[in-house]
Amino acid sequence: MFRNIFFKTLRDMRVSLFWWTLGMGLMSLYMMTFYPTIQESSAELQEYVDNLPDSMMALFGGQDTIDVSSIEGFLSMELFSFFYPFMTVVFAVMYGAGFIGREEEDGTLDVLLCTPIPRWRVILDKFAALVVFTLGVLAATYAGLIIGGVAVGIDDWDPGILLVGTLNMLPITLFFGALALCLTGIKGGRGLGLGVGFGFAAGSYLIFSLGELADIPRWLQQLSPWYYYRGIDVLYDGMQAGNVALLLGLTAVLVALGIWGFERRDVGV
Amino acid sequence: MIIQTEGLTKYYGKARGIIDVDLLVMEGQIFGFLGPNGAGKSTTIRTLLDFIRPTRGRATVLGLDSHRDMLKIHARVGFVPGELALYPKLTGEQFLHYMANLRGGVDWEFVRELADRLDFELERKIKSYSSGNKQKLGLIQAFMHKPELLILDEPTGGLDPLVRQEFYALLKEAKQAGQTVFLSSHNLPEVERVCDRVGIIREGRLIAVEEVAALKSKALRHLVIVFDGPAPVQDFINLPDVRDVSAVNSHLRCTVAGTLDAVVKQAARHTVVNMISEEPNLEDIFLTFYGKEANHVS
Repeated sequence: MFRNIFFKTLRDMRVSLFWWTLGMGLMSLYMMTFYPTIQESSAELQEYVDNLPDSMMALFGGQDTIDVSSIEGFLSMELFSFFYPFMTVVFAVMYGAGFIGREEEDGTLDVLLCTPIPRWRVILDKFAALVVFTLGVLAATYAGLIIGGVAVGIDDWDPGILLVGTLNMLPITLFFGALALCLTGIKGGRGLGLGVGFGFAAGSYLIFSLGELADIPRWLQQLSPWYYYRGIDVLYDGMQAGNVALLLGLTAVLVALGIWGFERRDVGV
Repeated sequence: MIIQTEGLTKYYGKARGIIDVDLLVMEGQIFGFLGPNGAGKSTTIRTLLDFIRPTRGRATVLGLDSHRDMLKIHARVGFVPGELALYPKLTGEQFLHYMANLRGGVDWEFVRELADRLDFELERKIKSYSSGNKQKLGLIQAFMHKPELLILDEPTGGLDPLVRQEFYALLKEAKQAGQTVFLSSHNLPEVERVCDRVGIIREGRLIAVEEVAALKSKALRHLVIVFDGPAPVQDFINLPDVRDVSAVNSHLRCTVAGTLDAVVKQAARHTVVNMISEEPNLEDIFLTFYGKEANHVS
């Protein structure tokens, strides 16, 4: 566990990983067991959803065309459009800002960097740990959905597409983690990474979700990473390779920028 | 030449770090880097290790460029930071394993020997260690891979006197083994005791580099002599190297530069009840011996 920075970082995350997997797993389980009740009262629910103000509907990522009584519609609305990716973005931004920011604030960066380990390696190892952490949380999330679905005997579903929907959260999660990491790489301290990371996640979500209603120009919507996430469609259309490639590409660019900044700046001042 | 800096200058924005520091440290020396807090000791050290980049000037360590060859330097240097911070949730042993792995492995027998000598328990969590114990862990971490150069930034803070003796013994052995030591301190007696040469830094500028013997001859002491009657002030006022003579009743105060010989002989002509010599204060030494140069350069 102390073999290198990657394993040490994972070890530091282990308690947090336990609670995140437990929480997301149980939440998925709970939502699936809740689904048959929804299905029974689908007529009333559909009416309720149809009568929601458009802005509310938009804010929660919904679309008029969604059939909430289907498992795909239900999970898209309740989990994948908004709620789940926001949860994963929370830990991604916190870790992204903390990897360098925390060690620098605590002063432990001095003993770490006095070893013959290059600075770029510190960033890559820690970011790799975030990738593994995210995959762990997503695996637990998926396991919760499957176990819950089997337990309540859902039959008209495609477990494969649920896996696609779950994995679709990986690029957007890593993107915001990389954004926070990039900022702490360029400039010391966690504040900037946390502030901009959370601020941009929330702000860009509003621009995307309210885009059509508020007549926000399309090019502005396209500046929002959420535009390429498409959690509301993924259970119908699958992952769009272009969107995934774009988000992962931007993630790589942000990590590279973070390395560039970290390599050239003073540390611990 | 183990450490060489040329015109090394660092500003933090407009704030002064160090200015035009030209340092030479030879192989096998224990070099003391003496200066009050805030003088620029840590700034110099952090520049040598490439944690911060100089505004002007350059530095070589072990003949390598401090920036371009940073990783090669790090592999051959042991470092104790001035403000030592360690991972509180790890045990001492886990921390050392981590550091050893990042360095590509160390002789674990030697680590245990160091821990024994410093009377350090490896198994406890770092957050439960006293500051002295954390400092010991910092020292073990710096010594464990037998580096060619030890850069120690105020390493003895928090160490109790016995451990400090053991640390001095380790320094001596390191020197015998051909290792070079660069040790910063604001404690003059410590530097006098363990170092061969001393660089004195004040307000960011290196104001003198001296052999320790030369520095000792400049020792400055505040002396209080208590007589059994009124203090004979007149006997002391005109003694060489004695200044600031004052008296209150039987207590005579003065400042002595150099040896105490003349003062002691003069005092011995009276009945002396007590004699108290205070540790020389760095700032006094600066003002007395380096005042002119310090003013000249600043």
